Amino acid sequence: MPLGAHVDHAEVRERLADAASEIGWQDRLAAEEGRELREHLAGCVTCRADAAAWTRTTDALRAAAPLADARELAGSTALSGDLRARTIALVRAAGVQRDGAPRAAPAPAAPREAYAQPPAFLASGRTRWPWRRLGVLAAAAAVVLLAGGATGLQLIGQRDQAQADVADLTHLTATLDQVLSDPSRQVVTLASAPGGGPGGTVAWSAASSELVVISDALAPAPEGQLYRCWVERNGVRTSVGRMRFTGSIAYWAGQMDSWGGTLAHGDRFGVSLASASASGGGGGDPVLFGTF
Amino acid sequence: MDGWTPESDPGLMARVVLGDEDAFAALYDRYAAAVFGAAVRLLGDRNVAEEVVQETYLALWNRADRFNPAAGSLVGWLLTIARNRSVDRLRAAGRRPALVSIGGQSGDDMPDDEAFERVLAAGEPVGMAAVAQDPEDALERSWTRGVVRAVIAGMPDTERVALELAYDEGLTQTEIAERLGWPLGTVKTRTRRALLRLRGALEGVLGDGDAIGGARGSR
Repeated sequence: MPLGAHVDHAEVRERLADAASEIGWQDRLAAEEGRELREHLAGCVTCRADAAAWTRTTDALRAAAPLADARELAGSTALSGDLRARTIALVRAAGVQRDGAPRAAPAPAAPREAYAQPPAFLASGRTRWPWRRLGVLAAAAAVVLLAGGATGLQLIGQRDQAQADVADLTHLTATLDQVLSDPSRQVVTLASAPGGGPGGTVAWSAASSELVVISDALAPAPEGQLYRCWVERNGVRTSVGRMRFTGSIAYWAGQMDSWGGTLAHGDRFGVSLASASASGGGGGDPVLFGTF
Repeated sequence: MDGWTPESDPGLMARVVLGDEDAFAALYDRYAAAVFGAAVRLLGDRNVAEEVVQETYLALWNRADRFNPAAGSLVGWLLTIARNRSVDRLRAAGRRPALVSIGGQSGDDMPDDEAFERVLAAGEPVGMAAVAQDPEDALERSWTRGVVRAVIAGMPDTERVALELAYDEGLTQTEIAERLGWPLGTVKTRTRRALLRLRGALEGVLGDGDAIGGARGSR
């Protein structure tokens, strides 16, 4: 059916979709039989974009042939039966709060149920982010929160700390997720010094100027000292902030406003012990460091 | 497949924004297999691919309020996140697609990617063969192929067989109708649905952000 004088773009897209259903459609479009459609596409950006999308799709389809093998080999790529439960447990533990109520509002028994299926990557020993510990700490903090509310004044201090811990962990996981959503993000493994074994990870997003550093290898800072994280370029060290502790996890998460630039190849990121009374600076020798 | 319903992708995402775990679980059931299938084909490691699935769905939960159905399909969005996570893993491990060729190991002329999948199915350790001089190109091609195969593996049989006959055997829609004994209109509908699924899944992979109404591939 020829295209009418007043072209119906929906009709053009129908014809493109029909054409893409058969192999070799681009050749037919380029031949005489496709002249009318080609003439329309030449003058219509919207329909031309639609044709381009079909081209990309069918090119990918041809490149993946033979398609019949996809089903035959599906068994090797089938999901583990318990991955669903583990994924839901992870979201409950580390996902942002969405229902307007504290995530651990249920009875104290709920956190143990939520962690019946720990994330597989912990069992595999390939932990990069200590999700399970973050989640357990958040749940434990919430349990103390509930217990504090029920048993009286002597737990008010613990309850306040638990509230702060839950808020901190929520901020940490939200910032981490924001950084990891940036396609151009940089992630660097931090080495413990001396020795050089992995001791933490730092992730940086140039798009949002947000940075997250997490380590489970730092012992609590001695009295009067703290851990300060910094960035060093050309020998000049700029303080980023003070590492915070939640349980055994040390971390810093936030925007690098003080840095004012982008982390480049060769920049060093590190964590050092510093005097708590010092106003800033990068402290002493690094206890964790890595190079972008 | 078209339009907003509580069980459509936009409908389920709107429920996830409100903290509906059942809606989140429904989206897991709908697309996790495709995400895992693409990731494991690229990474060659089931455990790491499962981590990618978990991280991808955590991102879905955390960023549900940022999903814009007018900008692209949900499955394309998920696969983009999964691809980025998978590439991170490869780079962190210092791996590149241009490693040991396994086509020779398989002993025949099958393409390296297909040989890889067969060896993976047998549970043997594998490497990935370069199909291009540029390792980044090889990675993109490998990921795209994995997405296509994962989506096809998860399609209803009626859609998949129509697509296979069209693209593996080069049959016309009329020939497919005769082969399967289906009305021509049914063949067209099922092939169209299959292609739309694929197009939606590939949106993020191939940079197709110009989702046009009526050709989006979303449910």
